[in-house]
Amino acid sequence: MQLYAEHNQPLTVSWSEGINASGVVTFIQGETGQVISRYQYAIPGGARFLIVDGADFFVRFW
Amino acid sequence: MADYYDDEDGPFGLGDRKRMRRRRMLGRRVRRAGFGKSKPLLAERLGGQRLALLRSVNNPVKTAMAGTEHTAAAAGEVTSTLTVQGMVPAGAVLWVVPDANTESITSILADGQNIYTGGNVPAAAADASNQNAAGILISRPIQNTLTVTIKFGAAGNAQTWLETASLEVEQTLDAAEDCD
Repeated sequence: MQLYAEHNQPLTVSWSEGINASGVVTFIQGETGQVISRYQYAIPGGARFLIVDGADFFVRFW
Repeated sequence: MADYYDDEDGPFGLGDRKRMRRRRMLGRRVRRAGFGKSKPLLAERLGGQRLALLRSVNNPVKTAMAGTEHTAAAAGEVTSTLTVQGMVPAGAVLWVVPDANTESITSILADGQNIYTGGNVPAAAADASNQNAAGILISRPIQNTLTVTIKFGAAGNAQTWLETASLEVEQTLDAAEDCD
């Protein structure tokens, strides 16, 4: 799933709950479509992100 | 005599062939995982940083900021600066986990440039619970320093760390593996 990250607004992404649930989060620059980083989080349920540097971003997660 | 070596025992019988195939497959998996003969060459290409790079492929590198925590004895602002080792590529994520909702981020400077222009981070982004904290995307490279100032409404502490991107490392490794 992919969501638009509005500048300066926290964006919550969610993935399947479970004992070992983890999510992969990819940050994609809105203008160029370039993937700039990707992380795997062991936080159950989801995580929250904030884009602060003035650029448009998409957050893809699963 | 034909029965002497059964499937599990015989030299070059079915059991041996299975074992030899398992060894070959295991060797391939070990080499693909990065521990085979090609790795010294890879390490040479990557300037001897093989261990650090391999570790960061699967585990994002988390670097605690100075002192691990911003600690305030009373209301006020506390500033902490992280001097990065080499350049941190664009896409790092800054995590700030305060212990109270009275704490907020006043500024984030990357190499002296204020990259957070929206005033204080909203309360929703700086929740006391670890799971509700917000990861703040640093969308530009950090050449030297990252400086974070946290405003405390009362005595407290906030854990702060920088998570650096592993994607570029993966691409580097993929490219190096393709050369092997």
